[in-house]
Amino acid sequence: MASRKKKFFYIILTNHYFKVGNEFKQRLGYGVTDDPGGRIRKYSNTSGGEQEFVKLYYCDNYEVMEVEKILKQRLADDCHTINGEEVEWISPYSDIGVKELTQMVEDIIKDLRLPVRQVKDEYLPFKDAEWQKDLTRESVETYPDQYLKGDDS
Amino acid sequence: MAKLKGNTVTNRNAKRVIKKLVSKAFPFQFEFVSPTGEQALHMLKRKKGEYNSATVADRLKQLQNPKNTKWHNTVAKWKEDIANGHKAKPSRKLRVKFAYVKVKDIVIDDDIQRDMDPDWVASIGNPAEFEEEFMSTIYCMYDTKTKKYISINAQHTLVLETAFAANELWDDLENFEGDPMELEVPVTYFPSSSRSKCRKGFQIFNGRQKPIEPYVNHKMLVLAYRVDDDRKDKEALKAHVIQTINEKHGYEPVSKDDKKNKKFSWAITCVAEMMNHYDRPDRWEFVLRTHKRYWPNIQLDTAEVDLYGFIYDYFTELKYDVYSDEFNSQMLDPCMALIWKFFTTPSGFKNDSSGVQKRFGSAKTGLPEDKVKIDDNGSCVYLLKLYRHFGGKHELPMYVNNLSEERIGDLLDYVDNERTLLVEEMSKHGQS
Repeated sequence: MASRKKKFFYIILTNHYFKVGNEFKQRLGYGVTDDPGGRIRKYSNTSGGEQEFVKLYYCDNYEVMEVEKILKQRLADDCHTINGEEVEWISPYSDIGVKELTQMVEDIIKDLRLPVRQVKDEYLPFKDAEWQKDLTRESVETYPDQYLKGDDS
Repeated sequence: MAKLKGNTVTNRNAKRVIKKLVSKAFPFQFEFVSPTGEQALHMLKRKKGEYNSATVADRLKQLQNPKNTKWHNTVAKWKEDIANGHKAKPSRKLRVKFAYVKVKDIVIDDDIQRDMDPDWVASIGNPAEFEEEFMSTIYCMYDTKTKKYISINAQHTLVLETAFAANELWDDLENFEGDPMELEVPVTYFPSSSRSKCRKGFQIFNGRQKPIEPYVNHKMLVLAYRVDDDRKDKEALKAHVIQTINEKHGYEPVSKDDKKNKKFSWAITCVAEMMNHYDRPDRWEFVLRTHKRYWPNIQLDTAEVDLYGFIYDYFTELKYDVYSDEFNSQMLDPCMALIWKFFTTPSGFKNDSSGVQKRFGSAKTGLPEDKVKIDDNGSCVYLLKLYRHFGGKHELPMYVNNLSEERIGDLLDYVDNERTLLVEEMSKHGQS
């Protein structure tokens, strides 16, 4: 059985656009996973186009699961709903963009005072391309400094 | 260690030495964080006679917010169906009508309504609670063929109303002439002769109600005490006391529908758990104070309510002053350090604790983990065990020995192996 505990947190901005009123907008979302490659492939397969994570965070002790929970609370008023159900996407009517969402995530991490680290820019955006295939839970666990920014960066 | 009066307290110097030794012995320290200073919006802090109201126009504007995608999809579907000829526009003429109808002209079909429950008639007629204004109107379909009103809903109210007449309990009967069947009752009806429509009506009137969430009940009680100046309702007083504690500590309960406010760290979303403390305001105050001390920038989690609540129960029973500096430094600070270091937040701790208890329970009973029921105080016991394992020196309640059996071992034998940090530290510091 797959573990329900996750070590990666991601921010996704869809590559495809949704018609919202008379405008076209990308959808901004977030989530946790233990397998970034598998998760981004699922997004791509179900949306019919390549998708990518614009940000990825990693922690050893599953702290990102609590980051996600707190973020969900703080996004209560900016959460997108599909058929009346709240989902882990930002409402297209919200003013929150990638920059603001990233800042919210980093504020939560800072407030929790825990070693959640960002994946280095050279691996982003993460789309499970050939040159990113080695970014897995096992490899990051074994060689964290190769993949992750320093604690203070 | 500081106990309340009547118990041994070591002298000040000795206590300092012990404190130093204990804090040195415990391997993890809690790092406090500064509160962000978010100020709570105290929506229930109102004075006598201070009412808030909204117009229908306000509500309509709220509904039309583009974020309400379910509503906008519904309107779009209506328009599409009408344009395609799949549906006619709803008719204003088919809205329900109102009439005073003689009881003899109403029929209760037992294939439409449930059997009458005489006890329920007695309950709604209970003189201690009965108020005429709250009697429902009788819902009917007016059968255009038989010229009878077919009762769809509120048959118990109808029977009670008639029975009051039969027992001459009504004060100001009109058009009655001594025969209860001549009594006129208020009826809401729609004209039709379709029994299937009747049956659908019964299901809709009885089944599709938005449940009242705990917040609404709490709010009603607080406002009854504060705004309506109701000094007879004991529950209203209890709600006011709890609400006063919330306000004192800078917290405010919010509705699950209050999206604007439920994102804030001061928002209390576990309102049902809060209301469970109407008879234990002292316990609730400890829960809030403890949350505020350690986790000021995140929301109070349901996990904390029981966890701190049991800590309060157990240590006050042992006569400790749970607000003392000694209790904080020797008991609460190390416990919170464990939660923070290994589980990030109390919510993370609760999730892990649930898994540990289920594995233990499964070993004990042979049931699959998802069928195992866990104890209300299980998380507290787990935390106390961890505290003892890592060298905590404070006196502990006997409950720390729960969840331990010779045949299957102790709860701590069932910690999650995937929590490698915890497992490593437990083997490094093991003392239990």
